[in-house]
Amino acid sequence: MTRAGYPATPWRLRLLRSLLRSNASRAIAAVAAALSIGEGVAAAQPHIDGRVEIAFNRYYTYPELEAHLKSIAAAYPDLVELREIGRSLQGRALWVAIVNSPKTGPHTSKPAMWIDGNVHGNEVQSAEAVLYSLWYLTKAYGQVPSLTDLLDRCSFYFMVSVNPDGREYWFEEANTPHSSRSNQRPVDDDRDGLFDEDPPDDLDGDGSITQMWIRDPDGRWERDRHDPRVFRRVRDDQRGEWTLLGSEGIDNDGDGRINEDGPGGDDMNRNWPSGWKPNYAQGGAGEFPFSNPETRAVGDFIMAHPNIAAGQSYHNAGGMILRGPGAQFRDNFYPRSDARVYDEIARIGEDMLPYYRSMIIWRDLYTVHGGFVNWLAEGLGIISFTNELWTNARYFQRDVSEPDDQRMWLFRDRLQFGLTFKDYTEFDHPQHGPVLIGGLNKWSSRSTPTFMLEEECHRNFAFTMFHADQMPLLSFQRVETARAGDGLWTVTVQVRNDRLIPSRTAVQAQRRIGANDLLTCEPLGGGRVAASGSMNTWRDTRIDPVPFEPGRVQLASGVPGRGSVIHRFYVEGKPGETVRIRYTGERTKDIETAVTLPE
Amino acid sequence: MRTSVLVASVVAFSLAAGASAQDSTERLVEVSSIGKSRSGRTLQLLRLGHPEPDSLGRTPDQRPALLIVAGLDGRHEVGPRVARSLVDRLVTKHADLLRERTVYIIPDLNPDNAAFFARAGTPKSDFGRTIVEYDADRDGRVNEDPANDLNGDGLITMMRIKHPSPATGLTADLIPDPDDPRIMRKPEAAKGEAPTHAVLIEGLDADGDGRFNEDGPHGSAGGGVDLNMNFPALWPEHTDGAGPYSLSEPEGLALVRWMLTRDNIVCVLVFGPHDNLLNIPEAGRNAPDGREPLGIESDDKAYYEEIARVFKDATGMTGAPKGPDSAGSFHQWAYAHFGVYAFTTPVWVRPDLVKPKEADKPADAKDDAEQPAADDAPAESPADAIRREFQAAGAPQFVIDFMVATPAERAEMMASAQDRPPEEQRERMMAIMALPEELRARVMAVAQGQEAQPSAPARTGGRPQGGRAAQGAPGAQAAASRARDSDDAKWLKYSDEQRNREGFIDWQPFDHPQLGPVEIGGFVPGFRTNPPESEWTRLADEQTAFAATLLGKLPDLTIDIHAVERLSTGLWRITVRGTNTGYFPR
Repeated sequence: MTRAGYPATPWRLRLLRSLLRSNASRAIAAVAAALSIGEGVAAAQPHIDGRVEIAFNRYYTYPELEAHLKSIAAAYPDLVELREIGRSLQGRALWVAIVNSPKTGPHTSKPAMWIDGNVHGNEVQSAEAVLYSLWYLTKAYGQVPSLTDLLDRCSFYFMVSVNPDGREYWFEEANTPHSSRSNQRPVDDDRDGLFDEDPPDDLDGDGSITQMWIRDPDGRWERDRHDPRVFRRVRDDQRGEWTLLGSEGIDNDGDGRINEDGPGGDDMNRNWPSGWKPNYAQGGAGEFPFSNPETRAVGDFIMAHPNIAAGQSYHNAGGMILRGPGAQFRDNFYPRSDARVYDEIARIGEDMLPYYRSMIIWRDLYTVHGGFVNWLAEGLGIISFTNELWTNARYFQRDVSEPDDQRMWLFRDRLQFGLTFKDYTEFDHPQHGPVLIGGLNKWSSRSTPTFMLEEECHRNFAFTMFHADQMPLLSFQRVETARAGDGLWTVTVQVRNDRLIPSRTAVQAQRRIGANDLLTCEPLGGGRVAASGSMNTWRDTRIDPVPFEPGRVQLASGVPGRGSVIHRFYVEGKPGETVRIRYTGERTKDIETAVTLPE
Repeated sequence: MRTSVLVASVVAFSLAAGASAQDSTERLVEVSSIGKSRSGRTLQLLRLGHPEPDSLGRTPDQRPALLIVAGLDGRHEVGPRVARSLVDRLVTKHADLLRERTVYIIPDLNPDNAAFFARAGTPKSDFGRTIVEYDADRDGRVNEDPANDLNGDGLITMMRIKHPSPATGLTADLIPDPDDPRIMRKPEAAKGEAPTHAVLIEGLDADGDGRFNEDGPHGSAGGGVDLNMNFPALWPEHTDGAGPYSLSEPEGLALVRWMLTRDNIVCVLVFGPHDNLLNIPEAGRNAPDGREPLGIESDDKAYYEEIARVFKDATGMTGAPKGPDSAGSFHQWAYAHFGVYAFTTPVWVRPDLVKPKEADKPADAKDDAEQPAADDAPAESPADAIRREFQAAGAPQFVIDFMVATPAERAEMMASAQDRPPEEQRERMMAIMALPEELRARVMAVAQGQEAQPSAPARTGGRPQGGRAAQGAPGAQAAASRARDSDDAKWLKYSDEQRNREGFIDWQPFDHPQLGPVEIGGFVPGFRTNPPESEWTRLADEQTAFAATLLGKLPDLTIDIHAVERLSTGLWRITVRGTNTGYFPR
């Protein structure tokens, strides 16, 4: 593992970590760290070196993303398993990077967080946000104590792009900031029996689909005489000169309409089973839940990993931390105790992500049936958010949320140096005759301006690490034995969850999702558990008995967030007999302890 | 993949046919598959149609087609058998219809279930789901507590436990009905009755968790997926039997994927536990999203009513159990998502729900004393008598439907009436008040349950760990005074009088290793679903007639040049007329 140029050598880290974990105070540890790793971690700046350098002031095509994934996996073979979970419709590999510290157990033995991006092909920076998270977390392991601890107890599943076909189409073909949202499954949008036969056309060859304007004596628009980039609507009592024809394109199929049947059609964020509705009730739903190879591959992976306890999906844009439900009538999938968990994580998130607001999808955005985080939250009971990356409030940061057009031209001209605008040029259109084509290109909105991308990625990465750190962390807070009679002992166990997310969410308990947690008590010397029951406090003098299988207690609600459960077992045995206590759950790391029955 | 094979080998039970008929059937039937079951069994598809192009040059896969699907529920053995017997009958008797139309038949969508029960030593039980491992009780153990054939009679029936000890965790909540102690029902506390028995599915608490048969096949509450709860239309998420996600089962997924490639399917007929022909789905109400119909669209109601009339003519059925909720069912998907008329029938119903044919009726047959409106025309069934009387009085259809409904349906109607808009409820009340006094009194008597006729049995039995998969026991009846008129009582009457008591295993004492003395008994699994051998021919003939009628009603299009007019030099107006020559809208 030691490589030249990596000052944070393993023995120093081991020393540092052992100090941090020992009873020595944090202050001593910090001093030790400063002394022992002079040129490294704690030296001068909070920057940490990694084995892979990736610039996050730019965007990457899917092949470039894949190359980065492979180099990270190659650089951190102990931490990263890059798994192809399927292929997109057009045959691109769908990659999940499994990040885990194997020395603390296989990834499936720990609570895990799922983090994905780019299910909408045009929402490009969502993939960079996931790549950044993978890149930062892997290089931080062993160098940043808090993230090292986190990765020692949790695992992560990163998927940079759920829709590589849509991403590639957005990068390689002419698009607007809003097009190429769907996958590339041909859909007959205009129901004329032909599929994707009349897409927009990049008539001026600039790589973007911009606008077409035509001179029109009845027009309601005029060009600004000082700034010909600007078309301005005229007052009602004035005559204009121009009419907006719409997006750049021709009538490819000769049906009298322009650009009415473009590529693709399924919105893969409407293709998930929970609350799924057919296309007539939810546009873009697809033929049935998981009808697309991409959603099915993700679904199969997630269902095969019941240890996933937290979920995050990245989109753009709007600066939102979104949670379900997607439709009002599914509000009852968010019991109050779960809603409190969502609210608290999102509240911290609002502080970590300036200009982001915590919102509920149906109430504050729009109604969504069959959305991805809705499936995670309502179908599987996983605490999950969708972040809408980038918000216009960040252009000027001091400003109100929507800068006016004049301010925006300042941003485009002075900060982006005009790169997001294409000058209007004359074009002889086959249907319309002479028109002007030009305007804002596909990079002009929704995507984070490149010079601000790294900060956006980092803040969101940090938010997900905070969320991941709220996954259940169990310990035996107190285990006590006492003699209760002839050959009879009580063994009383308190299991504590130090984090916010319960080991089984309330929706899991209510809807019977996943296996119940188990608290078992096994006398190893021939004894048996004669009875058991739960208690509310240590002072309780009565138990709430478990009538059957007293030594194998099922907890449908698990251990609550920042709380504990207390259970008392009545054990028939012999003095000196060892009794093993275990707590196991799908979304927790199993814990085990043993006690000896006293004389 | 598609292969034509001799029909004789495909349709093993085909009727004896002359050489020429054999020739033609062979040509008309093509056998292929839509995919495989979870265990790899072929999901067979039979296509019936003349292979040569029709008058419009269409191949069978381009002609308007009726799709018949059976066997979604493994308990419904009558479905696959009748579906297969349609092949020969349609091909020999209705070959002419198959020139311009196609019939697709998928006779058994759940072959794993049949294979599971065909294994030697497997007791017969009321379990129709797919065979898939599933931790139904979420305890981390899979299929660990199935039902058990304790008395070794080859059947999973029920156990009743008198005054269960508190240590068992069971609570007595039923009593044997004094009129017929085979029937278990809820006690009427107001009449001084106290519960004496708990009823469970026959078996052990194999995992010692205090619950019996809660995780595993054989008629318990858990295990497997009900294919008719696994389709995406109104999928009942997180309900026992619905599956982890819609179309989680390879069988349903294969069917949907195949159908989405077949745009010539214009009508679907399902043989299964649901009925929407005697119980026309509610029209005009939508799911909470506001767009997806809960039943059918208002504009389609008249078509359903007309097809129901045709169906009753073909089968003589006067009633049918509505079956389970249609959320997640195949027919609801075919209608609401695939967008075609979709009908479903249990094929066979208890004989008292079928209008006797004159020829079949024994000379000394007497009308059942309990049935209302006994009249002097012996050939007329009570239901028909009601229909005639009420129609003569100008009663609206909903009143007639109500009066001829089975008790269960009636309960359903009354329950759903409360969901109707207030104006409609008022309107309906007015219509009832407008009836002649004698008829009105009868309607009110039936509505208030005073009438000697039947009342509603409870939908689910009073089983402590009740599950919809099991139907084996006489379920708890809603009200004591009517138990003898309940659905269970009618089945017992049918078993006793017409089936030599073979439908019910009388309660017999058994020493249960965990519960002590119990009694084991109840309805024979499948007795209330599948007909006796003597009925097969009639049922196959009826469904053939119905399918042929449906086939004749499929929409089809002809186009002709209606007019060619010269408007000017080199300018012509051609008017084309398209005509739907079928009955259903296109």
